[in-house]
Amino acid sequence: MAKFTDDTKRRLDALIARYPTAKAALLPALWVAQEVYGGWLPPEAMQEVADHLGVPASDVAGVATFYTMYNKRPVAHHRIEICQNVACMVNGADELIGYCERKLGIHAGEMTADGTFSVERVECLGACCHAPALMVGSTYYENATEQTVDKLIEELANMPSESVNPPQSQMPEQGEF
Amino acid sequence: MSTQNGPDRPKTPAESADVNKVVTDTKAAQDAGVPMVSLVVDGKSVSVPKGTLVIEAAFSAGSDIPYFCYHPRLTSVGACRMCLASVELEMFGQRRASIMATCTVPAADGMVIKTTTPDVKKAQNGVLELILANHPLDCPVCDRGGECPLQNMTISYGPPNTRFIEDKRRYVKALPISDHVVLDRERCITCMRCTRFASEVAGDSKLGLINRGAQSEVGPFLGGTFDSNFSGNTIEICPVGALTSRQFRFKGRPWEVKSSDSICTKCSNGCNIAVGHRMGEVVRINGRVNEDINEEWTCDKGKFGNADVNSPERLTVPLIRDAHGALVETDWDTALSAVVTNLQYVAENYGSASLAAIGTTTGTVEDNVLLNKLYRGVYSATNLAYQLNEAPRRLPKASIVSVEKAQHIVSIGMDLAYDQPMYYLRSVKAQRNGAVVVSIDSVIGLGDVALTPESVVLVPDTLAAADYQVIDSACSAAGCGYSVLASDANAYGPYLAGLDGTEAPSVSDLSVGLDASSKATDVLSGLSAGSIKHVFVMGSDPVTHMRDSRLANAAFSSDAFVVVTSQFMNATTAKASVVLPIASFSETAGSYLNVDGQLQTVDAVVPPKAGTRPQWQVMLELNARVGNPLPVFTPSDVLPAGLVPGGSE
Amino acid sequence: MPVEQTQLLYRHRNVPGINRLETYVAHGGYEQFRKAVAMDPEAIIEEVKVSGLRGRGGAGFPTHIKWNAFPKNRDVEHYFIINADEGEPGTAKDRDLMNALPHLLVEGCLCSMVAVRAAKCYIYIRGEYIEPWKSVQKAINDAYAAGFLGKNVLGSGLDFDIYTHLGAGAYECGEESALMSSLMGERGMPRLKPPAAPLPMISGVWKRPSVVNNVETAATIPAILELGGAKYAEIGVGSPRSRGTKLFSISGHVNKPGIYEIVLGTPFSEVLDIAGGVRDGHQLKTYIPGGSSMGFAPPTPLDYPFDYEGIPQNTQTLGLGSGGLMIFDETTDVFKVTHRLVDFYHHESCGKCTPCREGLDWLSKIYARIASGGGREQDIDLIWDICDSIRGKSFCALGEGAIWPVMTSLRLFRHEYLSYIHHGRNTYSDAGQLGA
Ligand SMILES: Cc1cc2nc3c(=O)[nH]c(=O)nc-3n(C[C@H](O)[C@H](O)[C@H](O)COP(=O)(O)O)c2cc1C
Ligand code: SF4
Ligand code: SF4
Ligand code: SF4
Ligand code: FES
Ligand code: FES
Repeated sequence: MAKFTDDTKRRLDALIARYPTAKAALLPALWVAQEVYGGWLPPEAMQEVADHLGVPASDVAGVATFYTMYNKRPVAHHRIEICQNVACMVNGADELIGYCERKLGIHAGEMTADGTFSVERVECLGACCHAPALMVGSTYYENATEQTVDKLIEELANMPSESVNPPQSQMPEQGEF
Repeated sequence: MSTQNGPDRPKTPAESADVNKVVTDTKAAQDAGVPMVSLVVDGKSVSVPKGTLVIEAAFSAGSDIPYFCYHPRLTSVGACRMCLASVELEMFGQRRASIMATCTVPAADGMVIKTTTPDVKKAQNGVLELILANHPLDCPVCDRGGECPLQNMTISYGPPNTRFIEDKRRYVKALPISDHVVLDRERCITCMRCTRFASEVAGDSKLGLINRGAQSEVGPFLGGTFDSNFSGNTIEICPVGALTSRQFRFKGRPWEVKSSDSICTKCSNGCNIAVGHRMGEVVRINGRVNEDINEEWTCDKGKFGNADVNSPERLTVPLIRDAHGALVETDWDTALSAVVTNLQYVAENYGSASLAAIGTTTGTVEDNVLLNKLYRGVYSATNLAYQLNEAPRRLPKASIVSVEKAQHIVSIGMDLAYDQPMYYLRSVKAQRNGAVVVSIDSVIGLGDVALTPESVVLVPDTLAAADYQVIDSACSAAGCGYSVLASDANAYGPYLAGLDGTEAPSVSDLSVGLDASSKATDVLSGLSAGSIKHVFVMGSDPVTHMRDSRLANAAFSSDAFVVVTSQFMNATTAKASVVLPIASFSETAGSYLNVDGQLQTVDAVVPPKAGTRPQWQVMLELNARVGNPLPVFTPSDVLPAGLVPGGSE
Repeated sequence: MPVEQTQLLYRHRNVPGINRLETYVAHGGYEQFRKAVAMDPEAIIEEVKVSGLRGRGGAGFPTHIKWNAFPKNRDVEHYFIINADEGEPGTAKDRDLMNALPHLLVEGCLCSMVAVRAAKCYIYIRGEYIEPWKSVQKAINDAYAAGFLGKNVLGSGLDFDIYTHLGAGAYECGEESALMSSLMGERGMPRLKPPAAPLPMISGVWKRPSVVNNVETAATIPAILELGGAKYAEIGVGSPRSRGTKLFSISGHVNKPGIYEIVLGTPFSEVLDIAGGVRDGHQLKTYIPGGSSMGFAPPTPLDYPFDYEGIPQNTQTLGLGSGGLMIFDETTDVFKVTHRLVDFYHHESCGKCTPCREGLDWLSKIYARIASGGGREQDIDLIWDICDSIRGKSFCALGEGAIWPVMTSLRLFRHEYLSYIHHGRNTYSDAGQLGA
């Protein structure tokens, strides 16, 4: 079932217009597709992107599977992504990850049974000077502590999933100046 | 670790072919006056054309550099790092030697290459050890075993025992990714040859890399199949046993398989192939180099479709219609006697105008020559036809090889990749060089295509007469002309055999063009009118393939005596009086003129399937039985003077 | 007397609202672009040459040499590409710069575009950096509105367009040729380089002249134009080949981790002091001077010029890199830190070349085995040999960068490896205090 609407296609065309080739719009187009498909990229999403951009589907799959932020399976509404790299690690990242795991009753890499939360280990977020750092959606939480996590989980638990869109949905448009 | 070099390392046939290509290309470029660069490889000075890669220069110098991802017909990626050697060159004003991947660096004047120093060998061995780390080394059960460069290198100078004690990467072993190809990801060394082939040569990108890092794997689009008409080539270029043929799987170890040169007759392109056979059975088809036709590729119809020679459905016993009207098995002597008896009876009682024959466009020129000798030569018959349907008959303006240089290519009413595979591959090359390639379903779309005098217009030989008129006027208006591409392996063979009565027919006549009308229509009309009482149908199936199927049905439902030669039962054999089971392409010798006019002669590769006979021998015997013994021992004895086979190399 | 820390990029870092166009302009913003757009491109390149500016992204290549390699005409489109893929562990400066000073980046891009005769610029921002991305995109939009971007800018007859391009999670896309692949919609795999291929300045993205520069490199151009190359070159107290200031992200076991603009050549001990020194009650064990790929440095010497030349000479690491200085005190389990880095590189290897793909896969398995008590003494030689098979043989510098922390940790902390091998744990670090 195709999910791209006229509006989706208009957005894709605007992206294509930024580059000398349609193929160059592949990364941004996959962001749009991930948003349209509810946070992940099933093969149909890749096929739709391939069709709209005129790029072979296997190339689209090659790109989608290369980059870790394109999700190849459904994801939790709220993904708590905690940096595990060394600046954070020596500042207690592993302990923080352990805390989240215990609190939510899941292991890193898993999501809660109701699909609300997941905990994921990620690599350096570029917040090393305020370690440990974590990210939920597009928001960073730096110098994170157990209290940060408590507050986050409490706040997010009742937030409807659609209020936490994948990032590209908030894409500022390139001005038509 | 022991290190060896040079001639001691056994080379696979594919590796030898790569070296040959490099050496021939170098010679050709030299002759064509391409500027040369001079460098020193292992103390030996060589001159190579500008643009030659260092690894190729090393081949020219007779040095050996091991490699996996390098392929002379694909762009360089420098992925496997096996081809490391010491390259001394001047860069940024400094001259220094460093270890480089020689498949990526173009040779330049003054370079000094060393391929055998301890440093180089250590580097190569290090890479080899890493390639082997996750490699299953299941050579004894691998179809590539015996012609695998990785296996050879491991034996010649690989680490004696592995230091890798961890778990290897595991995948489902034999994963079928299409009807023809099986993928074993554990064996894949991620050299990207198959994926480069798919995007650069086949142009369909039907195989790609997914995931990244150590998890990288090749495959078709998620959940899909590798549905390319050129998928079989990836089996050949995969340097290891990661892509193998479902057909060939466990059919034999490569070293038990003998290889003989032949050409494919599944379509008009005439690809050069090597037929692998074991104990008289064809087990696989590989591409063989012919730069003017298929470079080294085949299409899947050629690579896998030719397996029909082994089909249990093959006819192996002559058939004859009995008193009750049923086709029953008989022996060759009875069948041939029946043909001769009827032939003589009709000729004596009704005259030569009552005899007819339809020549073959899939068999050899010689088959047709002998048919002609019998009907025209002995019986002065003139109702000799071969083209089933009306279509322009002339050699195409655009040869296969010329298409790669075209700027604008228009194909009409064809799926070029399936109908004219080698034209298609050249069009992909042209496209990669910037050509515009347009494919339209029918002449209706022609109005939207801006033709220029440089446009290359490709047309099948299966359109209706009115369509050719439309194309003809559009193309003459644009001044570009067009090329009608024949479908059958030997579309003009009957003409070259003199079947239409031309004295000394020649290939150059074909550039001018032949009569477009279908003489077969006249024969069939004669049959249904009752004026023709005997017809010999050589290797074709008019009931199925005549556009006027009503006429074809009526003709073959008449009382006439119908002789049909065939490998399989079909709609025409079903209506025959006598059916003669004939040998297939690999079982018979002879010559074929391909779509763009290249005459190629092949030998039989395997003996005819028991019970079948090569068509030319059948015709020879019929000639003899009617009192026309011919001093013919091989088909080429009857090849008309002036036909000089070439092309195949 | 501590070195006077001249602030160029961060001069207005803490001015409220400096991320807004009006405030930025009120503090002299876009003046250097006004100047640049009227200058001969060659004159800008000359200033950059005199300034001694070297790339701030990691490799430290002189910027003017790259720029000078461009064709001196506008016959085909030229592309100026910003590398904002910041992913090198320990590096956080570009994120701060884009969040706080987006117009400085835009102005830097504009000045650079004049120099390389580019009408189009792409800013390649890593996928996680949504906030910096919005910040930069807003600055771009405002710059269009103010007439700094668009057609016939400031009556110069020149057009300028800047586009942002969001990555999607791949460290390798920070490597400049992989970044170009990614920008063209391909897998983030590196491309052939000279002598195997032409320079990107001749044939880069879409086979047209292109250059990739780091965020900070571009953001330094306005300061160079303001001061003049010669004056800029006077800043710096160390090597004559390390001029100006550099942003350092100082993290790990220091009292005041943060991003600091530091005059190149400032003694390392002073740099440490600027970050408040090693956290109270602890001593320096080792540090990574410029992002994880540079490797571990010994705790002494401390008084050496912290710059492009001083670091490699005094620490036997790869060098200054991206300016990600990570400090580790005595509680640190260096084997474990190295293990984490090996896993990082293993995860980020693009998979194109055998040495990096297979070598890191193997290393990662060996580290896991040692960590879980299955280590053998011969593993140390094996690790070294694997590094040797990667070193100088991998396709791009990711493989090279991956083995530096491994080799330097083995050189400096072999005993910690042996401790794991013999006792199944690290007896040299008090693991209990880790992260305290
Ligand atoms: C694996 C790898 C990752 C890199 N990541 C970055 C990066 O995130 N940002 C950056 O500016 N340079 C990065 N670089 C360096 C770039 O390849 C390149 O040298 C730099 O962007 C050039 O800009 P500059 O000359 O202005 O420093 C990386 C290099 C490698 C090998
Ligand atoms: S399947 Fe074969 S050809 Fe394809 S990447 Fe793997 S090893 Fe290379
Ligand atoms: S293109 Fe034609 S001749 Fe060539 S392999 Fe295919 S079927 Fe055979
Ligand atoms: S070193 Fe090789 S595998 Fe590693 S990132 Fe570079 S190209 Fe990819
Ligand atoms: S190490 Fe965690 S943000 Fe850099
Ligand atoms: S053959 Fe040169 S890198 Fe693979």
